[in-house]
Amino acid sequence: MAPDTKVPVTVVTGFLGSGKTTLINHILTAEHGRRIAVIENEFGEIGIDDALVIDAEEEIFEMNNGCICCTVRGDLIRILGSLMKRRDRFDHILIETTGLADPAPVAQTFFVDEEIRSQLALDAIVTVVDAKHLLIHLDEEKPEGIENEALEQLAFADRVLLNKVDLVDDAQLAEVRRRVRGVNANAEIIPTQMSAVDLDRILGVGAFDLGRALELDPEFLEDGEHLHDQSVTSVGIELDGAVRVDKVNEWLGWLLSEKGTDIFRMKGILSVAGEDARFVFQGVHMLFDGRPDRPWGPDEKRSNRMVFIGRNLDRDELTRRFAACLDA
Amino acid sequence: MRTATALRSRVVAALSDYVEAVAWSPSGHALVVGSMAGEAGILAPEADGWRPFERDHALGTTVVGWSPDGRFVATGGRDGRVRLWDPESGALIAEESGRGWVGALAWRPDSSECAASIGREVVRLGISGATLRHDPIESTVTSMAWTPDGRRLGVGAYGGLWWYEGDAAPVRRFEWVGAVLTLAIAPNAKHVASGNQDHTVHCWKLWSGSDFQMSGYAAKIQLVAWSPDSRHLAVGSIGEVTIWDFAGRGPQGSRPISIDAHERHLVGLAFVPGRRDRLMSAGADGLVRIWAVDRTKARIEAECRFDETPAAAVCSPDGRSIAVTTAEGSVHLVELD
Repeated sequence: MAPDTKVPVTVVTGFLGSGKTTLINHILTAEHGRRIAVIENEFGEIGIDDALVIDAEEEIFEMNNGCICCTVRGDLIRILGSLMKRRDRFDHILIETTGLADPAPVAQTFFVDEEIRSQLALDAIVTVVDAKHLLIHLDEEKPEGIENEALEQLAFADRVLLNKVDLVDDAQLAEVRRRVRGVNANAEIIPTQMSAVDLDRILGVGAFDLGRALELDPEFLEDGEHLHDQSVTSVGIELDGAVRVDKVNEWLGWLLSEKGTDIFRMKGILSVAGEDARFVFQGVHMLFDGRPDRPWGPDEKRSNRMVFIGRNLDRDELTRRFAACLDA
Repeated sequence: MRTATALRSRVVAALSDYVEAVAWSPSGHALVVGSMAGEAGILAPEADGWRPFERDHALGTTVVGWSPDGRFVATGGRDGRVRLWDPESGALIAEESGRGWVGALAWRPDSSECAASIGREVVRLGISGATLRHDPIESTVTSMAWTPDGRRLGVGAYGGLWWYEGDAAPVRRFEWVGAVLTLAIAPNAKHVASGNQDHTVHCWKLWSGSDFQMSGYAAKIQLVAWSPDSRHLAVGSIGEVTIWDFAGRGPQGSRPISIDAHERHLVGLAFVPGRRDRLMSAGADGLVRIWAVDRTKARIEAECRFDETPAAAVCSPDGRSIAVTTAEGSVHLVELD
């Protein structure tokens, strides 16, 4: 099957009460001309007209492939595989995760299962947050070894729907935005009320499309608002010049095996020494996907850009090791 | 170089959607068939054609099976229902339902009952009407098979294989860390093989439980099939077929026969009954192929090309024909001689 016929899949995450179900309802009822299938984990009140809603019971498979943090959603592999066999194919699939879900197994499913990879494309992870309560969730002290799911859901997001903005004042909103940026500098933040969003901003955005994913926000790379009080942060690095692919491979191989559990998402565009085309890649934890992209333009400045979102990231060390990959 | 014989096919039924549930009657005169549209019924190509049952499985029929004595058929679907039918009259004999999809189904060799999975639950429908429901296991059941003597039922899921004997809780478990997608018990009852999500085939000895693993595959294992003499195990992963030799000291440390059988994923894999060392493979690339397998290699002996996309293929019990179902909803027959 040609890549352009892959059916896009949007993952919607967010805490109970954030407005996730309202968003799904909005997507199902809005005029967009798409036939949508929804796979949900919670019994929500969902109006169905021209859509199919499937109730899934989350089933996490650990992958016995030497990748210690690699888990996938076994239930999704079955359900998505089955959806692709129907004659009346859907134009778009939505996966709603439970409020407490870690988004990693859902995202990793699209990297690991060949059948899914060949027929479906992870389009974007949309995280719905409640502007009034987000900070409480982010600051909640968790016992040792327990994840803060609100933080993880934010860290994985390509789009953050900052919902219920009518319930906070300007100062509070600014603080919430600052905190969201601090965790995930790469996601687009969309303020909403009642989850009402222009669907073109969250559906069909191609955030996991290697070619399109990396139109990185230049401001982000300048490290404007770096928050040192948070365990989950974003690090963006830009380096001029060309890198040696063997050195990058060696470094990333080491980095992902040592720190893969702490690196939630990673994206990059590389200028590889001796190559005319840009090299683009992205990863979720230890899983990694990359390929040559379009050629560099004649007047385009060849530079290397990388973005990491994760826990306990050491900006100075990442920058130093990345710089060591430059073709001297 | 010898070229492959071109086989011909004919369409014997057209259903409304993707057909992956198909099984032959023991006589080889009819098929039980079900589609993604939910219809299910009996197809007798040389007699009265397609006879759908009165009730559909909403959201799609996933599995079907014909009892070894020929008297009953079973169907299951995404509606979480398993049904037993009289194939002659079309009468509904028994029905059980539960939460989840019906993922696997297996008739006991003595035809006294049909076991099926509904989500994480194993249910057993007796032909006399008595039904047994086992407690759900930890994960969704993907596959099941009876031992040839009918004493034990093996059930595959994430976490390994569970073995039932009688009506009690599982009597044994072959634990394993990965997700089992498919399983097959050797006809001589010496081994059971599972095909797994994490690109491995796992084998256990019955009943010592000693195990070994075949790895190195590029993708998940969707199909495993034993030869009738239990000597060979064929394994299907995407379009690749490997054949392991269990003669002598077995496959450990040996190199399998490996063939790039299809350009797209496999949808059917079986040794042809009654024909020595002949393997049938069917792929979504539109090809059904018969391979002659010898000690070191396999070569294409015959093949059939389809304009539609095959979704499943099963050999008749006498090995003379192959029923091929397609994503477009039709059922084709390929005669081997």
